[in-house]
Amino acid sequence: MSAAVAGVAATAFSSESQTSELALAIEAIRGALADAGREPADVDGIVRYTYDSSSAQHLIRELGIPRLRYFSEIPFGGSATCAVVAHAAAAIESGLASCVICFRALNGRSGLRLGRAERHLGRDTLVSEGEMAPGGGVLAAPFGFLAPSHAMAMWAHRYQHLHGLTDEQLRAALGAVAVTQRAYAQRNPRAVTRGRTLSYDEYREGRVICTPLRVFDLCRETDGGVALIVTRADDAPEGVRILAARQHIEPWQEQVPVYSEEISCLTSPGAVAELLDAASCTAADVDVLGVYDGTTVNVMLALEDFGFCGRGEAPDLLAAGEHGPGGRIPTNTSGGLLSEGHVHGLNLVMEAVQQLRGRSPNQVDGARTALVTSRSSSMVLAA
Amino acid sequence: MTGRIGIEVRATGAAAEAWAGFREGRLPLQRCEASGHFRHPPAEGCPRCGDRAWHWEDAAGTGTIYSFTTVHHAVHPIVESWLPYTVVLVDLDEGPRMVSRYVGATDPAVGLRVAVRFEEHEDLTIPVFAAMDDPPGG
Repeated sequence: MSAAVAGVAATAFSSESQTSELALAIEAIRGALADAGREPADVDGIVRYTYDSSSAQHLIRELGIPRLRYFSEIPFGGSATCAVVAHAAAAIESGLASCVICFRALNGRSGLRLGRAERHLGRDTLVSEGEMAPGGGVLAAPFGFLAPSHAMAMWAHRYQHLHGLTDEQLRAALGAVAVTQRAYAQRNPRAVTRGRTLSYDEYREGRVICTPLRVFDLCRETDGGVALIVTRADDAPEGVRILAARQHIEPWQEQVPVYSEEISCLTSPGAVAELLDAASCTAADVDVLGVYDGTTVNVMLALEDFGFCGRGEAPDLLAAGEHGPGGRIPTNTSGGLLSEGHVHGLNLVMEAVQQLRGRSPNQVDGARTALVTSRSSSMVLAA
Repeated sequence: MTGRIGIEVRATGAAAEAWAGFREGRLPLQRCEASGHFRHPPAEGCPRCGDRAWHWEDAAGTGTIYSFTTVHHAVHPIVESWLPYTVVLVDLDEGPRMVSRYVGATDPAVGLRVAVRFEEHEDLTIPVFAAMDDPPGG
């Protein structure tokens, strides 16, 4: 592949930005352009999440971009995390564009709250329509199946059953994710939880939200924006190469699967093999990992899906701290969506880029290869 | 639960017919004419073979819990009074998986055998599940 992430930037992350989502998008995009050494006039492509409130039309007017040659968008929220990069890279390689913005900006806490499913349900009446599950789906919402965390909790119980874990073993595995990521966040100036450490004892005393998940298992609704600039690799002196970026969808693999054959597998073996083949690497080559951590459960399952350990072995890997500093596969080193903040996963891509440039607040020594996954889109980046 | 539940189901097509069946105390499933495959949630085409011819058959109403979560935090005001409540994925004996609510006296568990019962509200009849061994109406 000949495309690269040439620049990245983020706004401050908070629970109340006191500004518009459009203003957050513009701030992040301007920062990413500066980081890439580019001007708005260089931009000829934009890839956005359909969930974003800022359109390509808005942005070119506000940023002073004279003409776009390429614009596309990705549905399903967090599933877009790596798919926006896949579309941008494809545009670069095909010659449809030469300088593409990928961005996500949201007031996820002070505005429309994802964790409350307000996108689908309305605030005052419980209206159920359409097919989406969970959310407003007519065969989901009337049963109280309302939020992504409800599905992720069911993934966890399924996994526990398949591998014969006790409640305490499951809690220890998920708690290891939460505690380690919170520790990473303490060194990250942008993290919304900076200054609030978390011990395992505090974790296990956390309020139960939906069994087996406690408050610390869930990501944090956040106001903020992140942007990336994708160009040809030979135009990106401080960029990182996109070895492969892929999206896929299979029956019942909607954004939060519940009807798929095995819900504790989030990315199918075929999709994983295709990504790793395209990147000419294996899990053993990956130095740092980013997982769309809507909840701690996603991290546990992704470690197995991508072959960082065998099926049923993630609890042991996590108990050994292999996802932490100095471990075999440091994961979500910015603190992740759990502890840095939820900018719909694009902040995980930014962290992977910064790791490969040697600029992470929790730098992995000699990091050369990074993998990022948000279930139905994934990618491999290289320094 | 009695009175109004306060949920507005804006179902259309086959999904509306399924909700009409629930109102009559039935659990209708679409069955593909070509492959015989039962499907849920409702759809116009068969997820197994793509055929678009189908008919309704009532499910036996029995199945196995595939997974579950007991919800302790209301993400919408309307479910505040339900807390705690248990959402289940039930693998029906006919094959399809169904999202529902578990109301049994036995603790919910993956693999638990369950049977449907119908919770009647003024505005909606909701199919829910309880353990097969639970006393009726419990």
